[in-house]
Amino acid sequence: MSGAIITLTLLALSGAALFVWARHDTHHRLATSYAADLRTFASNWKKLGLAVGALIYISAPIGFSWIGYRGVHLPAQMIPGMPLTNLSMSLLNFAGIFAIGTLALNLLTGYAGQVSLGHATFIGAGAYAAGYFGENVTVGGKHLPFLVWLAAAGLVGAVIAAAVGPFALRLRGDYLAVITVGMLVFAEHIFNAWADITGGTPGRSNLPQPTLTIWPGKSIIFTVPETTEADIFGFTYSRDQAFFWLVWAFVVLAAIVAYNVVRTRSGRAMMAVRDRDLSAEAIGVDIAATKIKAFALCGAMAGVSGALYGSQIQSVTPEFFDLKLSIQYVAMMVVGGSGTILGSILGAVAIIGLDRLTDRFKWIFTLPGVRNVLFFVSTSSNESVTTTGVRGFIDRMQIELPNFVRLIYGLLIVLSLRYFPNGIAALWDRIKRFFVRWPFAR
Amino acid sequence: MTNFLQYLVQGLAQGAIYSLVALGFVIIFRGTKVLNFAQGAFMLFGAFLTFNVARTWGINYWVAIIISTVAMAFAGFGVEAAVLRPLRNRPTFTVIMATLGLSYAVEQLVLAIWGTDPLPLNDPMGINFWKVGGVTITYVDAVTLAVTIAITAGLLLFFNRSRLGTAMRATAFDPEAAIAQGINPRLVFGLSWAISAAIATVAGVFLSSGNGRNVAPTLLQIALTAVPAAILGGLDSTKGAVVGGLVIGLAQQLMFGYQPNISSWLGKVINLDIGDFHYKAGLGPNFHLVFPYLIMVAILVVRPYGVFGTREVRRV
Repeated sequence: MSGAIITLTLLALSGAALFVWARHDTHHRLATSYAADLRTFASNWKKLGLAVGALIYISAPIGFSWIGYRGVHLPAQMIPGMPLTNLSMSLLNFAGIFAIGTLALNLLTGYAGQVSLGHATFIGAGAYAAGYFGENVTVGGKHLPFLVWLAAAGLVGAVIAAAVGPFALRLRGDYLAVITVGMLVFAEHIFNAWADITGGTPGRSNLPQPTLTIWPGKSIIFTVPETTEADIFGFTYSRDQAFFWLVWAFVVLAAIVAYNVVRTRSGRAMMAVRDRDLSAEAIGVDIAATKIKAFALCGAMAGVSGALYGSQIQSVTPEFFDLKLSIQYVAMMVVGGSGTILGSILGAVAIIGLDRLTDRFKWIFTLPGVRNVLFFVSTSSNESVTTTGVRGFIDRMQIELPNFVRLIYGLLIVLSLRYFPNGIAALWDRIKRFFVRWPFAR
Repeated sequence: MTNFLQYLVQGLAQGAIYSLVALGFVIIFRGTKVLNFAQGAFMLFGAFLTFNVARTWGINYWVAIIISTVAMAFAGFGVEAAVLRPLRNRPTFTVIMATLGLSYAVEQLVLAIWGTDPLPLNDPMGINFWKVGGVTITYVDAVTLAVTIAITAGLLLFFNRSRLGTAMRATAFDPEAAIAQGINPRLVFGLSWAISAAIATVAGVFLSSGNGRNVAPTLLQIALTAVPAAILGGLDSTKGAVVGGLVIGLAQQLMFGYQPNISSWLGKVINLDIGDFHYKAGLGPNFHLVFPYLIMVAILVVRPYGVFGTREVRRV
C-alpha cells in the first residue's frame, strides 16, 4: 500500500516538474519557417521519446515481468531476465503485426482517401505467398531465405492491390467500397479453391519461419524455428520473445516508410487527391498514378504483415481473411486515428489489448445479477417450450468471448466515429499542443 | 427444358428476395446518401425477432411477421436518429464505417441472444408445392414473388401518389429546397430507414421460410449478395433495384444449374503446366456464390453508376 502511495506521489511530482519545464521551454518551438516545420526532431522531447522507445523495445521481452501474469512463467530455460509470459508477448506480437497492416490501410484510406474494405485480401495473399515462396519454392534444393520470401509476399500483395487500383480511377466513395467487398469475396473463394497453395478450406499450416543470417552457412544471428525456442546471437530466447524483436523492428520500418512517404511529394499528392481530387488534378497531380501507387504501397505493406502473421500463428484458413478481418483493420485505423502514423500503431495495440481486457473481465458478464439487469434474463418463463431448437427471447444468453469482443468492436467504431472522429492520436496531439503552444492552446 | 424452367422459377424467387433487400439499400441511399451496410443486420434481427414472436411466444406466423416488421421499422427510425443523424455531412468513408460497425454489433447481439444454431420457423407454407408441367413451384417461392410485387407496387404508389412519398422524393432531389418548403427532414430521413428496415425484415423472413430453411446467421451473406444487385441497377434507382435483384437471382441460379455442363472448367480443377511448375487451377465448386460480384464488376467497369443510376455530376 505504502509502495503505491510513494509511486503515485513520485509520478505526480515528476508530472508537475515536466509541466513546469515544458512551459518554461515552449516559445522556442513555435515553427517560424517551413524548414522548421518539417524537422524530423521538432524538439528534444522527440529524441527523448525515441530513446525511451528504443529502451522499451530492447528490454520489454526480457524485463517487465510484472506487467504480465505473475503466476505463469516460462519453463526454466536459459532465458536472460524474467520474461513477459508467452501470452502477453504473443499479444504484443499480434499488435505489432496488425499495426503494420493498419499502417498500410491508413496510407490508402487515411491519406489517399480510397475506401477499402478488401484489406483482408492483401493480408491473406501475403500469408499464402509467404507460405508458397518460403516452403514450396526451392532453389538448388534449399528454401528461400527469410528476407526473400518476405519481399515476395510484399510483392504479391502489391501486384494484387495495384490490379484493383484501376477500378478506383472510375469509381469513388460508396461504389469503390462495394468493389473492394466484391474483390474480397472473390479472393476468399480463390483461397478456398486453389488448394495447392492455400490448402483449401482446412487451411495451410506449412508456413515458413523467419531465419536471419549474416551470410549463408555462417554465424546465425536470428532464427525462429517451429519449436518454442529461438536463437539470437547465440543466446536462447522463447519464440515469442524473438518474434517481438522481429515484428516491432518491422513496425518501426513500416512507420519510417509511411512517415517519409507522407511528408514528401507522393504523400502530399495522396492527401491532395483525398481532399479534393479535382483541385489536385488542376495543380498537376497525376491522379491515376497517385491512386495506383497508394494501392500498391498498401498492398505491399499488408502483404508483409500477412506473411509475418502466418509465421507467427503457423496456420491460416481462408475463413480468417473475410470481411470481419477487414472491418477489424478499419476499426484499428478509426480508433487510432485515420490519417496519422502514430494512430495506426496505437489503434492496433488498443484493439488487440481490448481482447485481453475483455478476457480478464469476462466473468463480470457471467454474474447472475449482471445478467439479469443487463440482459433481462428470465430463466424459467419458457422452460415448457422444449421442442428442439426453440429458445426464448434472451432466454439463453450466450456471452461467448469472440461475440462479446466483436460487439464491442462494432460499438467502438460507431462511438469513436461519433465522439473521437480523429481517434486516439488526436487526443495525444491535443495533450502535446497544450504544452508546446502553451499560452495559445488548450 | 424442364430444368431450365425450374432454374428460372427458383432464380426468380431468389431474385425477388435480392430485389427486396436491394430496394432497402436504394431507398436509404436515395433518401440520405448513405450506403447502408447494416441492411443485412436488419434482415437478420428481423428474422430472428419473427422467430421469437412466432415460436417462443406462439403467435400466428403471419401476425408475427407484421409485428416484427413494425417493430423493426421503429428500430430503423431509431438507428437513423441515434447513429446516422450525428454523422450527416461527414465523409463517405466515416458513414460507411458507422453502418459497418452497426452491422457488426447487431450481428453479435443476435448471436448473443439467439445463439448460432439454425432455428426453424415452422411456417404454414412448409414443404407444399404445385407441380406445373414438371416444374416444381413451392408455396414459399410463389408467396415470396407475390409479396415482392405487392411491396414494390405499394412503394411506387407511396412515392408517387402520397404526400409524404412526394416529400421524400423532393428531399432526395434537393434537401435544402425541400426544407425551405416546410418538409421535416428528420421525419423524411428516419422514414427511409424505417421503410428499409421493414422491407429487410420481410425479406429475411421469407428467406428463412419453407422446406429445409431456417433462421440462421448465414442470412447476412445473402444480404451481402444483394449489394451487387443494388449496385448493378444503380444505387439511386428503384427500378434498378428490382431489375438488378431479378438479374442477379437468375444469373446465380442458372450458373448453379449449368456450371457443370456449359463451362466445366469453372467448377473443376484443371491442370496447368508453366515451365517446370505444375499447377492445378480452377474456380471451385461454389462459383455461383461469387458470380454476382463478377457481374457487378463487369457492369461497373462499363457503367460506373449502374445501369439505371444517375451519373454523378462533378462541379468544378
